Parts: sequence; C-alpha cells; structure tokens
Amino acid sequence: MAKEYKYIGKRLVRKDAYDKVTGSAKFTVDLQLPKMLHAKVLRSPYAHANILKIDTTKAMQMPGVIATLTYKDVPRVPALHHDLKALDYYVLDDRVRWVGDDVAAVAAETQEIAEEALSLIDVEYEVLPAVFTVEEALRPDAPLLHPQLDYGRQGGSNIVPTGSPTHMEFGDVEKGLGEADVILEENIKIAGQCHGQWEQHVAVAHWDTPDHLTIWMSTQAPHRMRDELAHILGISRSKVRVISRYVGGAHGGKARFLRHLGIATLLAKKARRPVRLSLSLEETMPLAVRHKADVFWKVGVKKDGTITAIKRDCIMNTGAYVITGGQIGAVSLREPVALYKVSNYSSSVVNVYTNTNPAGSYRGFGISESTTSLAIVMFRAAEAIGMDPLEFLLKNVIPSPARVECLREGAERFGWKDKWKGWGRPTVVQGLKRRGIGIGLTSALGRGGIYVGSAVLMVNLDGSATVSIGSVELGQGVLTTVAKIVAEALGIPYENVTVVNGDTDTTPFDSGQSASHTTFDVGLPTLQAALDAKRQLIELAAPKLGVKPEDLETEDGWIYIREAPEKRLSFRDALFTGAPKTHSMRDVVPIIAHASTSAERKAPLSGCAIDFVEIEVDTESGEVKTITYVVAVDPGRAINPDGVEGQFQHALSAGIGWSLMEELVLDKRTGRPLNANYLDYKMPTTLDIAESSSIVIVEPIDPEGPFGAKGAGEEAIGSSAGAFVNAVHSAIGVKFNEFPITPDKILKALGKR
Amino acid sequence: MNKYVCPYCSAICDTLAALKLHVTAEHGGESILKEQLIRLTVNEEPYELRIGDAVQPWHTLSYTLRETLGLTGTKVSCDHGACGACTVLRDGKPVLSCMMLTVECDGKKITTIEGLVDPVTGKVHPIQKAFMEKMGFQCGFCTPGMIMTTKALLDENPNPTETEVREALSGNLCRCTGYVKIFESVLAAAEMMGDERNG
Repeated sequence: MAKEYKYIGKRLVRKDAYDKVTGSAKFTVDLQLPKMLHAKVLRSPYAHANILKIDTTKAMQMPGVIATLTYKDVPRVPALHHDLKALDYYVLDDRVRWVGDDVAAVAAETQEIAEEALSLIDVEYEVLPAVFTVEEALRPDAPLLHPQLDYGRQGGSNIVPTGSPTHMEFGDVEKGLGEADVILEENIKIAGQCHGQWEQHVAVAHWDTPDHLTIWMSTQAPHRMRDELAHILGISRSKVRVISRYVGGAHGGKARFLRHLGIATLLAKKARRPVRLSLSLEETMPLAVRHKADVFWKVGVKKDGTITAIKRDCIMNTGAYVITGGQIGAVSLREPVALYKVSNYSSSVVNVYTNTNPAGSYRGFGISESTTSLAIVMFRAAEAIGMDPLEFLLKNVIPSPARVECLREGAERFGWKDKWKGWGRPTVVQGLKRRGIGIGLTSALGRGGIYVGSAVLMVNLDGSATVSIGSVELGQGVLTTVAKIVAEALGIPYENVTVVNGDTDTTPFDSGQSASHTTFDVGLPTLQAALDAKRQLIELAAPKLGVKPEDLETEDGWIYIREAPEKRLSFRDALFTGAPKTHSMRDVVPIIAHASTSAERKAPLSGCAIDFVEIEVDTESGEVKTITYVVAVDPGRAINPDGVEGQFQHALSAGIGWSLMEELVLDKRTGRPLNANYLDYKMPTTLDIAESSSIVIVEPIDPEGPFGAKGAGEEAIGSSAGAFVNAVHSAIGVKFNEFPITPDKILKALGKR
Repeated sequence: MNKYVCPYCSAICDTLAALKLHVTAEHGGESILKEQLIRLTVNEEPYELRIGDAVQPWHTLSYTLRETLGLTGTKVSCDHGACGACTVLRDGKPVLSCMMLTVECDGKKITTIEGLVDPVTGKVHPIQKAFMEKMGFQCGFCTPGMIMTTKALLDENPNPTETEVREALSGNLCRCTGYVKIFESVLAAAEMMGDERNG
C-alpha cells in the first residue's frame, strides 16, 4: 500500500480512554454479584513444614462462614503451564514451603468474618529445616523442598528437575578464550523485583450451574487460565468461562496460574455461591516476582575489540515453586547470541528451590538473566582494551539494520559523543557531584510468530464493525491497535470499530499477553479478517454499482469506484440486497470474517532495546539521580506510537527502581518478606524519574507483521540495569556487581561508611 | 506503615482490625453508636448512613464509596496510604480515602472521579479530556487518583510548571507510564482550562 495511512501510526484517543478517565472501566475487583461471598487465605507462619492435621470445624461454626478449603478438598492435579517436568504446584498442598505459603481458605458473608475465621482453623505443623539462599539449598545435607519430584539420574537435590533446556553451546570456548588478549571474569548478581501491579491478584468465581464455572479474574491469559482450571477440575474446557477485559497492570505477574484462582473456584463450588478472593498488596507483592540470579561470565576479547568467546553459567533462585523458572532459563540461553557476534559460546542455567517467595515471570523474560548483565561485562571489556563502549558495541552486535540504527540514533539523541570523556573520567564534576553515562542493551527474542492469535470480525447493519479478540487490555493498548488495523484495512472510521475482548466463551483463542507478541500474533489475523470482510463487501457492492470487484475500493465506510469516486455505496447499503428504503430484515447478507495465526515466522525475529542513561552521584549522600534517559527501540512500524512510547516509558521508572531502589527484603532467619508494602519497598515516584527523557523509535518495516509492525514492549527494562551500573562505573569508577545501587552501597564503596 | 486514628478518642491503631477491636472494646462497639447518622455529600448527592448498619466505625471512606455506594471508580491498590490510587476530594482537598474513616466525613463534601463528568451531558472534565488525548494512562488503575490530585492542584494553581506538577503528584504512584505522559496531560489540562476561563 503506497498511500498514506489514515489510522496506522497516528496518535488517536485510545479505545479504553473514556472508561479509564471516568472511572467507568470495570476491573475484576470492582465486580459485585448478588449473594457474593468474600474469601481470605490462611498463610503459613513457617518457612517449611508438613501439615500433620488440619481442622476447620471451629471456623465453620462461626456465624457468617459458609465454606472452608484445605488441601484435602483439592484435586491432586498440578498446574498445567508451569514447568513441563517439575510438577510442583497444586491449588493447596499438605506441605508449606515459605512464610506466606497458602494453608487453607475461608469464604464468608464479609471479608472481616472470613479474616476472623482464619484464626479458628486448627493446624498442626511438623516444622522442617529450611534453606533461604542458593548456597544453603545446594549443600549436600540440605532439606529437599520437593522430594516427591522425579529427579531421574540427577538424584534428589534442590536443583529443579526442569523439563526445559538448561545448556547450549557451539564452537570451542576454551580455544576462543585462548585466542583472547583479555579475559573478563565477572559474577553479576541480578536483583529480584516486584511487579507493582496496581490491581492486586483477584478473582470472582461463580458456578452458574453445578458443572459450569464463570470466573472473572485479573490475568494476562484468559484462555490459558481456562485450560488450567478445566485441567485441575477434570472437566471440559467448554465448562469454564474466564472473563478478563481490563486488567490493572500485570508486568508478567499475571501470566501464569496462581493459587488464588483455584481457591476461589473451589470455595465457590463448595459454597454454591459466588466468591470474591481479592489478595491484599502484602499477599500479592511476593508472588511470582523477578528471579534473583547469579550470572558468571567469562568473555574473551582481542585488542582490536573482537569477541573471541562467551561463557555463561547462571544460577536462578526460583523460591518455593518453579512456576516459569525453567522456561525463563531456556530463553536466557539463547539471548546473548541473538545480540552479539561470537563463534565460541557456551551457556548453562539451573534453577534452585529455596524456602522463599516463589519467583516467576517479569517483563524481560530470559533477558534479565542474560543480556542485562552481559552489557555490564561488555562495558568493562571496552574499558580493558581502551575502546569507546559505543564503538565496541557497534563492532560486536549482530548488525541488523534496526539494531545499528538504534545504537546510532539513540546515541545521537542522547549526545553520547559530546558526553563521553573517555575512560576514568566523569562526564561532569561539580563539587561533590559526579556525572557518568552508560549504555545497556538487550535482544528481544519474543515479539510474535511464537504464539497463537485469532480474530473474528463482523460488519454490522449500520456499517460499523465489531472485532472480537481473546486478548486482555493490560494497559498496552491492544484494543486501540486492533481497532486501527480494522479501520485502515476495511476502510471504516476508527470511531466505528468496536473491540470485544477477553472472554473465553465469546472471543476466539489467544495465547495470552506475554513476550510482546500481541501486535504481531493478534494484529495479523485481525488484518486478514478485515481484508476478507472488505472482499466480501466489495463482492456485494460490485453488481449494484455495475462494475467488477477489482474496480472498487473502500474508505470511511463507503465502497467506491476507483476511477469515479463519486459513484459509491455505503457499507450499510451494500449489506442489504433489497431496494434502498425498503430494507427488510429478510434481505440482509451478514458479513463475518475470521482468521487465526499459529505459523512460525519465516525470518527469525530479533528486536532490541538500547538504554542510554546519564546519572549524577552525590558522593556525600550516596544518592544517584537520573539526569537523562534515552531508550531506542525497533518495533517495526509503530501502529500506535503513543503505545510504543508508553511501553518504553515504563522502563523510565521501573528501570530506575530495579537498578537503584527496589528490593524485597527477606528476613534472614525465616525468609519472611519484610517490606511487602509500598511504603518500605521503594518504587520510583514523579520525583525520581529523569529530568529529561526520550524514546527513539526506529521503524524498519517488518516484512511479515501487520502493516510492517513487529511489536515491542518488555525489552527496555531488561537493558536498564546494565546502563545504570555502567553509568555509575563511569561517574565514580566503582564497578558494582550487584544492584539496586542504593546510597549505602555507594558510600561503602567510596569508603565513607 | 501509616496508622489509623480512632475517631472517638484519637487512639492510634496500626491496622483496621486493631481499630475495630479498640472501638468495640472502648466505645461500646456497634450498639451504642446505632443512633448516629453520618451525613455526607458525594458528587452533589446527599447520603445518610446509619452507624452500625450501612457504615461501621472502622469502615474506610474508600470502602464506603466502593462497596456500599457502588462508586467503584475510586480505586484501592496498596490500601495503606502509600500509592495515592484512592485519592478523592474532601471539601476540595485531596485525601487518601483508604486511610480516612467514613465517620470522619460527617457533614463533608466528597468528590470522586465519577463526579467530574457532567451529570447531564456525560461530557468529561477538561482534565479527563487531556488525559484521554495525551494518553496519560495505561492500565488505568492509578488514573482516577491521579486525576483527582490534578484537580486539586489546578484548582489551587491553574498554571503549574512541570516541577510543580511533579511535586503535586509525588504521592500518586504509577507503574506503567514512567509518568512522562501524565505530566504532559496535566500541563495540557491547565492550558485547556485556561482557554476555557478566557473564553
């Protein structure tokens, strides 16, 4: 299409805007059903214990209590989409594995009654020895968290017997290291991070009939959750309806099945009444957080800047349950070589169980554990050979046009050439304050071509269109993207497109909103459906206009003759076969079009995100302030420029948080989270973000994506931490191998504490 | 952690549960207070809520708005006064409705996000319009609180600088946007409202 786009790439008011600025958007937590009960979960006071006896009789006797749930009421069926082999996750279990683990639950007339009834549940625990760090967990005499798992030849240990790949190599690393002039060896500790989803984990479960469940939930993947629940309940998928239209933030935390979904479901079944289970922030924050990881790197470099070998060994602390640890580990194996040119490579990863809160998915799936910290090693490699880090990266990244353009354009906007003063020299020194700059970069192996998406489109009798997709609006703008694609391809005003979403009974299959894949995998079938509907409309209109279909074009809800645009027919009139003005309901040709994609991409897709930051270290207070933050990304065609910017502006705050501020602190003796609240867990406020920031969007057109879009999203946060660690290095010469870089760490490093 | 203050004797309680125990033990609980009415105006509509019935002494304003009055536009995220999502206006001043007890609002005028829309035409307030046009939201969960704080700011300071906007919104956290488009929205709203005032 050579013509100028009308909607693609334009800044339009989002489809969800009115709902969200007026308070009329309904989130799961806003739902009230008649006779709805409220549930609360009893949580383990012990890091590791067997439940010897559990009795809810007294709780049931409390007025207002309607149902209770213990492991005895729960099908012994593990979650479906967690690890392929380490099947460790049940709705409730007879063993607890971290302080805060689920023990039992109560449904009552009010939340207060439910909360009080928890104290009436009698539990007899057999307290077991516990391990809180990877080191403790890997000792030969360490207690096993999951002795029941099939460990195969590996034998029982706290290393997760995952079904995902744990090793990858090519070339000869030892030989490569032998050819190097300098070998960098670094152990970088990756910080965990809580998602900070504003809507906490919540579900409202209602059995409409004894064998059909409707459950509203805050999730990233309604169809996947439907499959999980059907699997656990042992019923057909069609007997479970999951509804999730608007979600108050997810950031990866709502990508997989979590226990509250099963608890609400089973309590509602027992109570034969709707049940709302809304976790508190204190309960939500520790769940499925970003993995803490140790990444050991060995990188060989020649004096001319050539990388001769990369060796990586990673240990991830997956906490009490593995959820997605194995899958993240598998992705992390490949990320480095999707970004850097190297012919000798080896990479390994293990996940280790500890008696701490379970880790899971977080934006930057497999990136955080690999390219985030590799950016730190690369920066130091450039220093070791005395090369400008930007030049070093330009020499070593796999030179896709997008990536090179991101590096050049980002550096240009940031002013790298002016700011970089050479190794060992801060960019600015003013009294006790020193400024430095750093680059962080990541690959992005996700983004489409890896999942299934589908769309069903109807042209309505008033000439408008309704498109139905399974995707959830998490804030990323999927409703808007899909509406724009329909408007552009069908030739209809954007205002006349309605998007129905996130309901497994009424919308087609969708794999869920993760891996930044939705624009590609849902956008593509949407485009195909829209083009098919257009073809059908044109075929209806052609005889009426007395021309051949190929002579017709559509725009703004009209079908017109390309050579004589004044001769036209409205969509509405095209749908009626009777004479105008005598439209009867018998003379209607409904138009329905649909498409789905599950095909893999022809060309392998690899995007990137490159973060440039300038920070200022106050050497007296130890505070680090962000001065300038530029992110360069390659989303292909930006269908929704505001949305692309928004995805990466997320990193402007969450990246600062991960790098400089945020840490869920665990009690050393019990593993209990000590700061699972927003007062003590420090997230960036309006005062913490950079004085100036910009998002650079480079748009090499993707040959396979809808309108050339490739999709983008989670990468920028993955590149943030490397950029900050490197910027601190260039400001004060201190090489931190862990973050968040809090003021106390700066002062300690400067010998002031 | 922020604290809850007993509305009757100013005793300080760490949690709502503790406040409930305290009120029940020290002030005769529900029975002695049964006769009392809480009268408050929400978005220009008067409500009379009987203590012990529609409202309990330990009900927060956010609970009453959302669960009792069905005004779910006000959002609760942290539920301990740290994130600002639950911000509403009490007599024109921004308050955290999750930290304010409903019994503290007797005789007060409350404005929530629902109250910014013109009740007759459904037309949005210029602040809402600006947030729509500048995409000052993503997931939308912090948005009502963000907009209510903005309303309080612009009522007091119609032409804020970006620094003043940052300071005014520093108690309203947002995880999705990195705040950039929120600043743009607030500044655009100030401009729109200025244009309206000047005709």
